[in-house]
Amino acid sequence: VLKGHLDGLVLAALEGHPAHGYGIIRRLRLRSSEVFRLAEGTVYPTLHRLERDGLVTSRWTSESGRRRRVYRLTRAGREALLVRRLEWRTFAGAMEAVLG
Amino acid sequence: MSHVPVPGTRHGYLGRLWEELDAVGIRGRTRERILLEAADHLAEGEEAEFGDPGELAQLFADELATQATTRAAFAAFAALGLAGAGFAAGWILLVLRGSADITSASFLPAGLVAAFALVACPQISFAAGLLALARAVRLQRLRAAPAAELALLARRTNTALTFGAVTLVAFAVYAVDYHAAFARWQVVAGATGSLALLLPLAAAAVASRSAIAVRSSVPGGAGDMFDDLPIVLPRRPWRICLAFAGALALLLLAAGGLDEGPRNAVAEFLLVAGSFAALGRRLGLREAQLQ
Repeated sequence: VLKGHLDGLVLAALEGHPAHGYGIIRRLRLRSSEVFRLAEGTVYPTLHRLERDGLVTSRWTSESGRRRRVYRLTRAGREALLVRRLEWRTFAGAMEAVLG
Repeated sequence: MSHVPVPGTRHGYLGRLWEELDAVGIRGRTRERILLEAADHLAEGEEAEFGDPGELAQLFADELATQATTRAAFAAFAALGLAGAGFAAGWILLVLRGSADITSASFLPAGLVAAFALVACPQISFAAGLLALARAVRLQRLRAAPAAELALLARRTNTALTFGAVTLVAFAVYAVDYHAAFARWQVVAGATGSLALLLPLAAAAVASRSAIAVRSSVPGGAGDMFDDLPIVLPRRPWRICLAFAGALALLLLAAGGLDEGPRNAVAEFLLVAGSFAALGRRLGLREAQLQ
């Protein structure tokens, strides 16, 4: 289930705060109260695809001698996030109504 | 991004990831970037949490294979368009002083083969290129297309490039073999121009070869022409082929008049039907062969 929503979750994790892959994983864990524990490496194919699709940009930075690839949302990424939120709320509302 | 050695790729997790990426055909800058990001991640995180290297490499490959194969198909179509425009211009250039008598070749067997190739190969290249384009347009919308679909796309692309290249070589052979019918400058310009146009086709072929190297594992069938068309047609490939061949033959009959029309019409009908029989499965015009 989580895989199907990984794009939206990664976009949400980057909203307002650029981050590297490890930082994104940490945010997902923290915000989900440790419920979202996916194989950490799987976030990178997602990030690379989102970059190819123009939803995020990235660049190498150097922190304490370490090279890190930092990702940030583009305008298209912010718009895509809004759409995904709307879709999720519609879906979650419908599930809530059915399941009670 | 500059090329720098990725630390820790000789042994341990990064070494295994390097091998797995290599095994699925991900090399060069893409592999370097993946390894650098993994190395940075693992400086803080646990290897066990990062995931199995083989599964991670395959995740990358599934997505990259789709992107690389569709891009290669678009590049091939652009190269073929350039070659096609050059071929048309060269043909016009060559027949400025009238066409050559088919029996006037310096070496008749080569002349006849070249003349036949100049009729058949551009048509096959164009058809295969269009089929590749149709599939590339459809697959580019998918995140990770089935491996069999990508293999068929690559086959169409390579077939289009191969027959396009044969057309250009045949043009050069034709110009040289029938040189007596043309001015020297026409022969030199035609032969060198057509051979120069092989370069973009070669570049596209290299791109296609690199794309095929990235191996998707996504299951699914290869599909056929009917999956790629924007309109719904009855799945009767042979009937459609014969109707298409018949329509082309009628056009040539009308265009050629009483002298050449019937001969051209029969030749075109046989060419289309024969090509369909020989290449139909390879190009996914009917049920494609599985890998």
